[in-house]
Amino acid sequence: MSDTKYLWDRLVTAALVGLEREPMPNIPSEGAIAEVLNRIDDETPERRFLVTAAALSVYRSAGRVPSLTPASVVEPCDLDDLPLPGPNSMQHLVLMLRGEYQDLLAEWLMAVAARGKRIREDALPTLLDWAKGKPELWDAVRGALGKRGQWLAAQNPEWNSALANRSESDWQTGSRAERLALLHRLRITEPDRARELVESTWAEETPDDRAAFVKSLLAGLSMGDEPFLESALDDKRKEVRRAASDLLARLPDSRLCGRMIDRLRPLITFYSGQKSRFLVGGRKACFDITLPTVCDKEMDRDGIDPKPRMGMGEKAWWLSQMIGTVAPDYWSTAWQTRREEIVEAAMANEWKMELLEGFALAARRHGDSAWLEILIPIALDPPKDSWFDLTLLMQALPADRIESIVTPLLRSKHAIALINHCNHGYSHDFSREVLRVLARCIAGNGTDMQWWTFVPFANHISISVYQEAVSSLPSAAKEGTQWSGQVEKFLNILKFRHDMLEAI
Amino acid sequence: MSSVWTVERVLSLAPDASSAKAGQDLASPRKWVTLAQDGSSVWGECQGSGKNPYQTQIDLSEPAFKCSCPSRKFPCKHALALFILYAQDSRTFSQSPTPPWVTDWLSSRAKRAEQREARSEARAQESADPAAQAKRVASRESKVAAGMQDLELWLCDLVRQGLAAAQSKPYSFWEAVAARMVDSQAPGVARAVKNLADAANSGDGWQERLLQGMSRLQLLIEAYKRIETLPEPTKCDVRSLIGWTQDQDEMLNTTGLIDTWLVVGERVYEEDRLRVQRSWLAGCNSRRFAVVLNFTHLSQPQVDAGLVPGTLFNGELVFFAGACPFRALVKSRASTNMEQSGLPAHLSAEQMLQSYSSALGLNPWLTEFPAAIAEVTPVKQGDRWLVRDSEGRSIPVVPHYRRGWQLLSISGGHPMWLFGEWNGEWLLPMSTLAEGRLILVHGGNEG
Repeated sequence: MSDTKYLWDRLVTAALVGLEREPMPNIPSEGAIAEVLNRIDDETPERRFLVTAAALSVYRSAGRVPSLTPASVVEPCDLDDLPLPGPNSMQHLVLMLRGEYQDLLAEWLMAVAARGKRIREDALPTLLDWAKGKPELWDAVRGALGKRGQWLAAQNPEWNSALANRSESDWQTGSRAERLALLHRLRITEPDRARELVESTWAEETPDDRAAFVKSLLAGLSMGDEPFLESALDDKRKEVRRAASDLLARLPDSRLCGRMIDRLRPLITFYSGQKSRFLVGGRKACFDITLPTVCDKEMDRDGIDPKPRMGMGEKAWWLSQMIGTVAPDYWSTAWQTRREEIVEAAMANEWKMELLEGFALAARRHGDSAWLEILIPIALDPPKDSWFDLTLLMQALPADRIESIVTPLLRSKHAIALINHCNHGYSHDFSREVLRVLARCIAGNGTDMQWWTFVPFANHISISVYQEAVSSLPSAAKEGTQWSGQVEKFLNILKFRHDMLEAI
Repeated sequence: MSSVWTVERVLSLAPDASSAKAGQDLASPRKWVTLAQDGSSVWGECQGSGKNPYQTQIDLSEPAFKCSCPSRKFPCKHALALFILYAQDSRTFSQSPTPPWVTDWLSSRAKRAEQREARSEARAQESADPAAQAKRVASRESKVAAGMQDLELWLCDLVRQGLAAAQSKPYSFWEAVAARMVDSQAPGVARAVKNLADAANSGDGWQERLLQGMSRLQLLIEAYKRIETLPEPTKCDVRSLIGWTQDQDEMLNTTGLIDTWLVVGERVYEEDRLRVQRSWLAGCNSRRFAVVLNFTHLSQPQVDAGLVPGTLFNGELVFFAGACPFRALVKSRASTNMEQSGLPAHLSAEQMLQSYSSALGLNPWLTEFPAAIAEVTPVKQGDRWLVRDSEGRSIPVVPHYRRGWQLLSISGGHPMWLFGEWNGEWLLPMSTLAEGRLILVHGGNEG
């Protein structure tokens, strides 16, 4: 074989250079092919060359033997795996991976995992490629991998770094993304251990890493983190200091919150309202506000930004930020008054914008749903020039409180704006409420809702109301208008979700 | 029948992703005014934006589609939706007498088939004029002979001046020669010349591939010179390589091979302004492989959907004459409810290569050999993939193969049946089995 290989290589070289420069190589006299090749006796050298090459190349193709190859070092996958979803499931997955209805992929993956099934093996590579740049999907993907998916992902570094369960040894060697993934996982099970890892290498980390690691402590935040975060307030990099002060502002018992209360108490006085038998209406609750005069180094260290936001005076801005640090319920306890009364007094005050923004920031940081419930209706119709953001307030609502807070507001003209911020999976009852709002707004033909806004609601609504949607929405939309097209789209999404969950 | 059609398979007929989505969206009984079937065809009326509903129908035997909507996609979303509904649950379709608009279509299809037959008969009579026919044949023979002579001179020049010089030539250099071969009524040779241009630009190892292509062309020239001395089957191979076609109507009058055929893979590529669909079939009893070519003009959207990978049919195939025939025509087909069983396969890579070399002995110009191996596992080596058999021997997979990970995932590291095209150098994997289900590991339009 090596003889023919040698001869073939000589032929290729000669052909490359050209026979006018390189003569035809000699044909060996021994060997099986030699006999054939020596019989080629064309008088034209080029023709003789080509026929020789033809014979030799066919001979080599025909004589090819497979090479001995060691088996893969990876053990074959255990075949005793989770069951597969139903036969019609694949079409839904394939369609989503092609980019249609892709917002529903996470829901599909979680449903597969919840039913103890797994992604079919031929779809795994496409899915893993798709998910590798989307960290928000990793948990959902991991839950539906099955043994086969884990086995496969472990063999491809690109997938592995996204999906593998990180061990603590990765803390020393991993990339930032891998280390964050490890922290993320540890904060759920052993939050103190995660912080200890961060502290163990703190001095060697780059500023960007330090800021990212501090931010990652938001999950599972507790007073156990306070000493470390307090020390991070002296970090050289501003991002790190701000990340730390933001977390400390979420811990009512932190030293930072204590310092902020000490600063605020002399500045704010609250007078409770009194019902008077003599004066009509009595006295309303009110504030007496003194603005801070300086923003010193200590305040800056505690997260107060000296430079005001647009449209606000700097002193008022400092005050607003200070209020934003203290748990809002501190005030209702200190002043022994109802939250509503505090908000009412704030609304009547000269500094109402600053007070309300401060309370809103504080309510968000502390996830205080009672305060959020009072502030959200204000955000629907905010005071002029205030930066009162409904989106942020809604995001801060604990998932189990959203529906009870939003439902009473659905009768208002702000219903659509509110539903826009409900991105959780709706309950059956809430879904019915939403359908009623939609039917009303669609029939209203644009008075309370733009025609393009409502289709995404279909991603969240419960599929248990599919039939109700089919019977109520199309009749509300005027035939042949944009509305009926959008209703069709809405129902298509709902149907796809219905089918896709059914098929698993 | 509906057990044969899964939604997944129906969606594989969709011309693009947006059609698949649209078909899926429409696959809801509430969007259809009627849904009915009579066993061999299904039809329905779908309310669109217009006043009258669209009338959609499917002849299940091929399948063939027709819809009254103005869409240029084929099959259109209505046809896909109708088919999805049928695949999901045929019980939602009422058994009813066939309405006129369906029978009209079915009978016009039957009529067209008859017309085709009549035309071919007419042609047969036309060509029965022996003098005229002999003249045509002689004229073409002399044109081909002259063309082959030119080609030989050109090949000899290339070898004399060196392939390095040829490689730097523009595409038009090769194209001119290909055009000359078309003029000589040797279209097969013209394609082979274009393949030389591709070989010259095929990257690492191009010298070998170019010399190989040139030398096999020379071999064809030599064979043509002495065609009268060759055995009949080889004569047929040489003539079809040069570009003579075999009379398909005549072929269909001969007896073919009856078997249960599984469509095990397909490739779709463009050649001479035509879209070529190559479908590989495996005979479950005869253990033979066949390749069926379908040509559609590029301006036409449809690719014949009759041979959907993964489908099984009972049918008669007529093979084109040759020393080692693979190419075939489907003479007749009927759907079957059978499950595939006993797919042909070589037991090892070595055995596969042995059959390949026997085939090469019969037809040295063979380029795509159907390679099925019973128990292989995919192995990744650097950037390349291999498939390794139970004896620990392996053959390489084509470079830049995109579905290596998918192959590995399906195998789970365990041996599996694999079908692919072996070109003497590399294997292009096309399909495999998982739990009795055929899974494609090469997209039809991936080249």
